[in-house]
Formats: sequence, structure tokens, C-alpha cells
Amino acid sequence: MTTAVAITGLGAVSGLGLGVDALWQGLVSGQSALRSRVEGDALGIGALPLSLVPLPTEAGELTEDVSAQVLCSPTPRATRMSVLAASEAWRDAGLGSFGAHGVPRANRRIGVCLGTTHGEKAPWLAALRRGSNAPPTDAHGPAIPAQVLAAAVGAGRVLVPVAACASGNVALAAALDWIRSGRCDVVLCGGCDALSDFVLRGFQSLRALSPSACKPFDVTRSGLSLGEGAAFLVLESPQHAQARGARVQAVLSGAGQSCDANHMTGPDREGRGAARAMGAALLDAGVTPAEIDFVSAHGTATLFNDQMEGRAIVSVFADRATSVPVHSVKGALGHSMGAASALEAVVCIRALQEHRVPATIGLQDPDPAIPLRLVQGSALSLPLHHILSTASGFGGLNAAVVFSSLPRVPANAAPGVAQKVQ
Amino acid sequence: MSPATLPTLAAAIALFPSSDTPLAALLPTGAKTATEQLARLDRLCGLAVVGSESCLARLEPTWRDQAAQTAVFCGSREGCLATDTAFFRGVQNGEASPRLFAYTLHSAPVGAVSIQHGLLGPGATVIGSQVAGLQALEEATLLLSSGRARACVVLSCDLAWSPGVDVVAALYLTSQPASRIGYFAWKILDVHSFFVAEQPDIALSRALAALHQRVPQSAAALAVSASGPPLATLAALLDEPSTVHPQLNDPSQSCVVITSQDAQGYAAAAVIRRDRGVS
Repeated sequence: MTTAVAITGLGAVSGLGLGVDALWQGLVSGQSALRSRVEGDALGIGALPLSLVPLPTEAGELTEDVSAQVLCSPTPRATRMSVLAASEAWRDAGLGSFGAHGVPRANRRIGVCLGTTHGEKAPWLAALRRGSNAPPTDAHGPAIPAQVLAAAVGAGRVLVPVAACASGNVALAAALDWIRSGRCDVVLCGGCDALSDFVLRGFQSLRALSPSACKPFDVTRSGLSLGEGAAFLVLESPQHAQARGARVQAVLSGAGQSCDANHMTGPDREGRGAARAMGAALLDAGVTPAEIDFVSAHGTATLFNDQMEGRAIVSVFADRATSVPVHSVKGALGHSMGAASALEAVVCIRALQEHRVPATIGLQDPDPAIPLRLVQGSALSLPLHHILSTASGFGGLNAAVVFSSLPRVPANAAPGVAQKVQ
Repeated sequence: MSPATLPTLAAAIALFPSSDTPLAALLPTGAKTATEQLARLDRLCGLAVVGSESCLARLEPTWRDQAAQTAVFCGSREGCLATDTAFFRGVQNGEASPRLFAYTLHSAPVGAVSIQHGLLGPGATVIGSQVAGLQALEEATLLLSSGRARACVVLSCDLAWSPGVDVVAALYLTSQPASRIGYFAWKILDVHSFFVAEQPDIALSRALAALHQRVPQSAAALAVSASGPPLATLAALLDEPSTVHPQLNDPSQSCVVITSQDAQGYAAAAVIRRDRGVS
């Protein structure tokens, strides 16, 4: 079995608010961030339900150890969301100041790995609106949020992987490899994406948007709702976390990826690619399907995604598919693209800590063709030890990860990571 | 990484077509890809498909035995920005194209290549810097050593912004012995990338220091600095080593270090070694 890595910090901004607590409390209390927004009207596509992050506009509203200069306008939206979520994760991990003076520069043992579909697109779109035909410059780069985070935490290793809407999980998988291979001790990893008319118009052109708040796995589902957000985890090698006495919240046990090699925008209808990613993640984690207590599904509420995901879960879990709890957060948060699986990772870890699974908002009448135990109505309380989280995206890209609670430590064991959890 | 687990670089190719060259003209003889298929893709994805097909055509057909566990990693500085621009111009004109939107993801070339060749392994595009191709190579080596894939097609694709030269490089890495898969072979000994905001020289010195620490013989290797996409420079060198660098005719000169950096502060260095025992 390969090494699990410690998770010592969490941070998130979502349509449910700023911070992990706002996200978690909103989800377990059954709130949805999807609201009909005038943004859709302005684009002439109707008052679509969207989940937008309530970003602060004044420096005074911001956390004190984050550079106000970075967070306030005109810093573009994806970067602001990333800084807010990442700074929360960094503080949560007890790793010291974020974005303040005195941060050591470019430590090669610290990494930033940010999954996204578009990164920071706002400056580029603004230039296009001005009619610019100038060649792109670094200031228009999709990697801007990652570079800002690297400067804030003194990271010397920076990667921006794009794997469509599975980007968040792919970033976690890359960070897992960095730590397992000994290249990094600490990695700030996650995902971000901001909504824009570019994205709205694109999904509208594909006729993928639901006119009402999306209904994952529901028999009447009619497409996805869009959202935005950012979420980050601090991953650490167990040795590093132990040496500094860090509070280990859970572990990332394994990751698996696959490609459908089937279609540029549609999934393999049988879910074979998603099933391979799930199976690979379980194998990497050394966890059997029988040991998984809960599945955090991609659950976009499109006809084909939910159907294929149901088939994939049945394929992996066999008889257990009808008993292992499954949910989707898309009915509450919308589909936040590259941020989606990073936000779901944060939710999974809180679920492990609280032993609760939030309900699938919007699900009222489960599709009988998807024979899963879908969590609906209200949050479910149950003992949780291992969680599988899965994501899929355009190009047939799939990525799954396994999160685990800390192993029980024998009474006579030497002091170690697991004992820091209390 | 022990020598036995070092990934084998079994084939490499770099193409530098002018931006008005029809992609079909670049396909190798007997290509599986049809002209009509290329016409459905945007140019970046088409370039990736042509590059990958040219690279895979150089392997023994047995490479297909591990297609189910073959990954695709791509590195690109600007990715699909040209398609993004075309799509957004359409939005501004009230004609958002669903066909174009499918290609407004930087990972679209990964999907297109996987579909074309039936590759079912992991995939992602690394974006945002001149050294993205070497970063993709670094991630591919980590992936192979983790056992989560057995082979990887590593791509570097970038389009000329205005009429000029497009670039695509494609490399095939495998954890199998080279003798079973290719016509030439090198070993990827190590790859390191670093970022120091706006100080690429410092980033490069750190990348080289890490390389020298882990692979001592890299200090005496032939050093090649790439002014363009480094993976394309590397692939061109491997394709015609004795022409590009006659020093490589010397059997004692078996190691090459390739470096690259950009103004943002990214730098990367890779060291490769001729695989002994393979002609």
C-alpha cells in the first residue's frame, strides 16, 4: 500500500459564503446558494439560477493577515477567491503568515498546485471587450492565481493542471505524488474558477443549462446550474506534520485518473472511464469498495452524467451500490468547474470529522434508472472512515480520490501523526 | 528513483509548421487520422493529434498493448487562448458556437489525443509558462513511477499568435524496457521545475542544484538551453542528435541537460541519458 499524506488545513469560498464553516453549515442545514441572477438577464439568457461567491469589497472586511492590496478590486475575481480560500487553509494548518512580510522566498519543499479550467480569465476578456488584438502577455495568464499564492506562502514549486471539471481532483493527485516522491513537504492544493459571460454563453450554447435550480439524480433533472468558488487543502508529509505538531484532520489515501477516450463533451454512457478512475483510486489507497462509507459524486444533473455515474458506481460497488450513501453538492453550489472537486474535497473531510453526509439539494424524485442510495431530504449521520470522491469533465477526463480518517493508534504506540488528531 | 524504474523515452518528434500549413499535410504516411477528423478539431487539438500520431508511428505496434494504461500530459504556455478568442468574438456577435466552446479548455488536446488513439489513462494539461512542456514531462515521470500509468504521451503545443510558426512536440515514455517498444531509447534521469516570481535565473539555479544533487553526472552533461518551448528543443535533439549536437556522436557523451526559463520566474531542467545496451 502506498503512503497516505496528511491533510492539515482547509479553506473554501463558495456561493454559501466565505469560509469552510459557511460551506459546511449551509450544506448540512439544507441551504442552496443557487439564486436567479440578473447576470443571466443582462446576457439575454434569462434569470438563470447561479451560485456566486459573495466576495468582500472593502479591505476592512478581510482577514487581517491577508494583503488587502491583493484582495481588493481591481484584483480579478478568480485570484481574489483563491487568496481568500488559500489563506484560510494556510491559517487552519497553523503554518504562519500568509501574504505578509517575512515569508521566505521560493522554498522548494513547498508547492502550490491549482487545478482550474480557465484560471484568471478576467483581464483577457476585458482586453477583448476593449477590442484588443494584441498578443497575450503574462498578465493575462491563466496561472496568475497560482503565482500569487506561491508568493504568499513562499512556494518554489508551482503547477496549474487543467483537466476540465476534474481539475480539482487532478491537482490533489499531483500534490499527492509530490509528497510521496519526497519532492515537497507541504503542498497548498485545490481549485478555483470564476463565472463569466464566456462560461455562461458556452454552456448555454451546448444547451446544458437547467432553467431552474439543478436536480442531481432526479428523474426530472434538466441540466446543470453554474457556480463558482475556490477551495484549498494543505497536504503534508506525515513526518513533516508530526515534526511540527500539526493537527492532522484526515488523510488523502489515494488517487486515480482515467480517460473515456470517447467524446469531447459527452461521457461514456456506460461510465467505464469513471469506474476505472474510482477503481484506481481505491487500489492506490489500499481500500476496498466494501470499506467505503460514502461516495461524493460528480452529480451535475445532466441526463448523461448522472446516468453514467450511476452505472460507474454500480460497476465498482456491485451489491453495495444500493447501500453505500451517495450525494452531490451541485444542487446547493452549482457546478463550479475546476473548483468543484476541490470544494467537494473540503466537504468530504468535514464529513469525516462530523460523521455526517449533507443531503443532495434539489433531489426529490430519484431516477429509478439510477439504483443508488442517494442521500436526500436531510443530512445523514453515520460513522465515516473512508470516502470516495469522483469527478469527470470534458474530453472524458475522470479523477477520483479517497479520503480517510486517521487510523486508530494502539495504546502502546509511539507518539505519531494519528495522535495529534484530538 | 532506482535505475530500473526510470522511465524510458522511446520516441520523440518535434514539428514546426508555419501557421498556415494544413495539418493534414503533416500527417505521417499511413496515418490513422483522417483529414475530415482533423477538420473537426481546433488547430491546437489538431496539432496535438498530428504530433502524437507522428510520434506513435515510430514505435513498434506493441505500444498499443498498454493503451489502456497510457496517460497523456500536455504542456502549453497559452493553451487554447486562440480558440477562446474566436469563441468570445462569436459571443460578442451574438453567435456563441457550441463546437468552438468544446475546445475552450486547455485540456482539450489531451482529450482529442486520447480519443484518437484510444488512450485510457490519466490526462491533464499543464498551463501558463514557457517551461510547461518540461513540467508536463516532470509530472509524467512522477506518474509512471507511482504506477498509476505504464506509459505516457507527453506533448508540448503552442500556436503562433499572429502568422508565424506553430510548435508541437510529442514524446513517448514507458516504464517498459525500450527494446520492446521503440527504435531508440533514452532514460529520463530527473526533471525539476521551480518558480521564483520574476527571477528566473534564481529559479533555474535551484532547478539545476536539485538536478545535480540527485543526479551527480548531470553536472558534466552536455547542456542545452532552450529559447523556445523546451520540450520541442528536446524532441528535436533526440530526433537528430548527431546533427543538432555532434558531440553526441561521442559515446562518452551520453547525458544531456536541457534547461528553460521565462520572464515570469519559471525555470525547469531535465537530464536524460542514452540508454545503454540499445542501439
